[in-house]
Parts: sequence; C-alpha cells; structure tokens
Amino acid sequence: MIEAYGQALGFLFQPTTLGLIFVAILVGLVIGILPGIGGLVGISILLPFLFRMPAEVALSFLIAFHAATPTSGSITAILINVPGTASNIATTIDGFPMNQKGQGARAIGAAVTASAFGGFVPCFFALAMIPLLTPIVMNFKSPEMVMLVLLGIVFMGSFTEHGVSKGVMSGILGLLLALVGQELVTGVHRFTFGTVFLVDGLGLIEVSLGVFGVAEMFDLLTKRQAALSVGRMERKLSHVFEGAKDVFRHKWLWLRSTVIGYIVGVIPAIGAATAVLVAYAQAKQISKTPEKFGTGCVEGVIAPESANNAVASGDLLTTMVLGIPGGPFMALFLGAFVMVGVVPGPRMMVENLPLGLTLLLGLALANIIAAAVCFFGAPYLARVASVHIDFVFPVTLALIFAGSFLARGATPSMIETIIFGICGFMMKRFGFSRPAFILGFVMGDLLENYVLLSLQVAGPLFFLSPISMGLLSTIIIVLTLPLWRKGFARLRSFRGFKGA
Amino acid sequence: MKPTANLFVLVFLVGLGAFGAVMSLTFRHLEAMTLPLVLSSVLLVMAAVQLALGFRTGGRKASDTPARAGTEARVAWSRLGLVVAVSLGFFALITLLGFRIATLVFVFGYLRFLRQRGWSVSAGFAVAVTILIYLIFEVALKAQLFKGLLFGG
Repeated sequence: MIEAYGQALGFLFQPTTLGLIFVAILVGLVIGILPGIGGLVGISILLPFLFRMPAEVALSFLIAFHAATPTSGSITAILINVPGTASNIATTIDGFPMNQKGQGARAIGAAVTASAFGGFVPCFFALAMIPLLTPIVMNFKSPEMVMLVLLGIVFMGSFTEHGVSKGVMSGILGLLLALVGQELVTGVHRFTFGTVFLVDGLGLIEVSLGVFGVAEMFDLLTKRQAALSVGRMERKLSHVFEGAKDVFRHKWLWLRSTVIGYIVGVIPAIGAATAVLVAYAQAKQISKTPEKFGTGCVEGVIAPESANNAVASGDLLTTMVLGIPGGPFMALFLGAFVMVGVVPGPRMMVENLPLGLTLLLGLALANIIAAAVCFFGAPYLARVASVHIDFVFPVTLALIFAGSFLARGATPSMIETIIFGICGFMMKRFGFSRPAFILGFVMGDLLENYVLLSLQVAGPLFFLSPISMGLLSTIIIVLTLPLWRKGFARLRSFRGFKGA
Repeated sequence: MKPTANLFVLVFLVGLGAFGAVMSLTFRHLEAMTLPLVLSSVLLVMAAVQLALGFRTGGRKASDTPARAGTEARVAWSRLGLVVAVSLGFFALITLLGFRIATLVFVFGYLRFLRQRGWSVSAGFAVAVTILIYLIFEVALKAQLFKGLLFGG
C-alpha cells in the first residue's frame, strides 16, 4: 500500500504531469463557465486526444478537468444567475442576490474556497475506504459482475425525471449498439449490413461526441439563446478574501455539506445536482436565520459549493471499485478507462491500485489548483461567459469532427457522429437518459464476456449466488420503486379519507 | 386520437427491438446470438408496454410529454434540419478540401453569411480557429488530419 502511494505521488509531482493537470484545469474552468456546454460535452471532446496518451496521464487529465468545471461554474451562477453546470444550480439562489447587493466578489471568494476544501478533504475519506472495500469486492466473480453492470444501468436509468422505463430502455439500447460488429470469440458479424466500416463496431469516441457534443450544439442552436451580458466584476481582492474567511467562520456548515456531497457521490447515479439541493436545504434548516436564505446569505453559497466538489471523490470511488458510475460524467469516464485499457471494477483496486490512488490524489490536488486560479482569475474568466453561441458552435464542431476522424482515421466516423448527434438530441428532447445509454454502450462488450463466462462456469442459474441474488433483489426494488411510491401514496390518501 | 411525437419514438423502439430480435436469430452461433436476442426482446417488450400505456391514456400521460415543456422553447424542427444540413455541409467540405481549408471556409461562411457577422470578425475568427486546429492536432498531437479528396487524401 505504501509503495502504491509512493508511485502515485511520484507520478503526480513530475513536472510534465503537473503541467498537464494545469492545462486540464484551465480547459475545465473555461468549459465550466460557458453556459450550456458543461462537463459532459467537454469530456466527449477530450476523449479523442486522450487515447494517444498513457493511461495514468489520460485519466489524470480527465479527473483534473472534472475537478475544475463546477468551480468555475459558480462564477456565472453568482454574477448573472446562470449556473455554469447543473451542480451550480443552488448557488444562484443566494449567490446572485449577494452580487446584486454589491457582494459578488465576496460570494465568489466563499464559493471558490468552499469548492477547494470541499473537493480536497473527501478524497482522503475515499482513500481511507479503499482498504475496507477491497476484501469485500474480491468476492465478486463473473456472475456478480453481470448483476453489477445491470444494477449500474438500472440506477443510471432510474434517477431521471422521465420515468424508470425510459431510462432503462436507454441503457438497453446502449448495450445493444455495443454488440454491433464482429463477435470476438466466434467471428460472427452482427448488425454490420455487409459494410467493412461496421465490422469494428461503433466507436465510443464517435458515439459520445455525437450523443453529448453534437447533440448539445444542436440543442443550443435550436433554442437560439442570446449572448449573456456579464458586465464588469469588481476586482478588490480584499472582498474575495472576505468570502474565503466566511468559509472558516462557517466551518461546521462546510463540513456537513462536504459529508453530504461525498455520501451522495458514493451512491450510484444520484449526481451532484441532487447533492447541492440537499446541502442547501440542510444549511437553511439548521441556520439560526433561515429567513435570510434566498436574499443573499453567504451560507447559501458555502453549502452547495462544498457539496458539489465533494461529490466527485465519492463518484470516483464507486466508479473505480464497483464499475458503477456515480453520475453522468463518470459514465463517460468509465468509457475512458476502457479506452485506455483499464477495466474498472472490483479487480481494479488489486491490479491497478497505484492508478486508483493517483486519480484520488490528483483530484485532491486539482481542486486546490483550480480554486487558486479562480480566486485570482475570476474577473477574467467571467468574460468567457459572454462568448456568443455563434462563435462557440463552429469551433466546437471543428474540434468534434477532427476528434471523430482521428478515432479511426476514416471520414465515415464523422457521419457516425452526426447520426448519433441527432439521436442524442432526440433522446434529450423525449426524456431518454443519455448517461444510461452511454453506460450501456461502454459496458456492452464486458457484459457479454461476463455473461458467457458465467454460463460456462455456473450454467443458466449463475445468478443464484448470495451476492448475485442480493444485487438482483436491489435491481428489482429499484425498478419497482415507482409502483411502491404510488401504492404508499394511495394508502396515505385512503387513510386520510377514512380519517376525514 | 392523434399520437404524440413521443409515441412515434416508442414505435421506432418497438421496430428496432423486433428487428434486433429477428436479426439475432440469423447469427450462426449460440454465443453470438444470446445477448443480442435477450436485449432486443426486452427492448421490444418494454417499448410495446410503454406504447400500449401511451395509447390507453390518449397520448397525454405525463411521462409521454417531451422532456422540455412549460417555459422551455418548443422543438424547432426546421431549425434542427438547418443545423444538421450545416453540419453535413461542413462534412462535405472536409471530404473534398481537407480539414484546414474546410475549417477556414466553413467558419468564415457560417459567421459571415449565416450569422451576418462582419467581414473582418468572420475572417479573423476563421483564421484563428484554423490555426488552433492545426496547432492542437498536427503540432501537439502529431496527428495527420484528412487532406481532402481534391488534394490526394
């Protein structure tokens, strides 16, 4: 274990690694501050660049990017009431009123400091959990992995606002499309329609660029949003430092919100957007002055900003150890793992422990660096939010097409990306879950291997092991949760009627 | 009763599930057939059930409504068609002229003629984007971008 820590720290503090992390943070800060773009579009655009890098470098780059996006997203949330990412939604409630009262710099100081420590400390919670989880997950064999993959898809598909069935159908569609191409064991060509291009299957880069990158561009252009006017932000560092001091004045609030964010991150598929709202609600409940929330109260900024950065370490732990993504970003991050040849899941902490530690420590480091850059560079970063979609679209499309071409060096890859862009747009419009779809797509081949191995070893009743049955029961409970809720609601209204 | 657009999506999924199941039965080996058949069948059944529920509620069930409703803008299908056409146009330019020239022409044309930006802004931005693509891909990543059919690609 100590040796693994030594390897991880040795790699992280190399000058080239630090340089790449810094570049990733800058890219993440810019992407996080551009409203409507967000981390999902960013990671899909970054994927083509990364498969040429060694695994540790590529994944460290991505995790540093992930640390930065919610940090800068708070800037537009505070200055113009537009969250940079979904995890900055709750920050607008008190951040924007603080700006309106002339306390914008203080709000940003509080947000950035809360983000820094909220992202830094939980990484050590996650590191502490690894030796506890490893003996448990070592009992996971192929049948358990089948159930785990299905559980991940069900979780990812269930926690959407448009119904469990749409989410699960999205996951199944992703699994099905992952099977396109030549089956490796038997050599059978599946769903290739006689084309050479599809023999290698559909590419993760092309699909994710389409479903997230192109689809978001289409969505933004069909809505024709006007440019955002940011205005000038006051540059008094003393006010920014005042906000930083607020976090230390409210240290218990920061700690509670951080713990909430971390726990939500560990639970698969819940996501940062829920964590920030829960953190905000608890801050208001426990506050001595709850009536001030919503009018420009610094506690209303500290709570959500601590939580949204804390989610990332819980997310990452669940993704690496169980192979179940903690949220939509981690579904694509899972794809990045597979792309660079690392299989996340129970065996990762045994076979690739230094990599896992590198990523958690890298996340901690990136949160501090991102906050420092935001602290001093917020006025300049804020101007980025004013960039009109007219300029964002052609640059983004050019990057997407170039990345898509590079994936296989073939021009049909760009058509594949456009097709999946249309599919992603439709999915977004009609309430199907793109994260569940991508998770299914990423895990399709692995699931097939686990299923075939399980059938060979244990026969058709492979799911009867205790752990598999436990996971299967969880799947059934999650799938039937809406029915349970309806039933309880009817029971409550019946009892209320009887009482009346 | 007129089905909503959401129901057409479900019809598509039913068709896709049925197609997948039928195709799976033609795969020679059991190992190759198993998972596609199971997944297609599950998709077919789930989509069919959702479709039946949707028709039963007259296409007005809450979960049938598009993801964006209320204050969100309605889907501008013609605008989507235009955006897709623009993207396909860029693809055609890349295929013929290669990445560098296509990016220059596309960015300039898009800003100047579709978005009515000024000549100097459009030209300056087009040059900047082309240089950016060149620096990132061909210099930093040492990747060879497509040269275009007209230039020996």
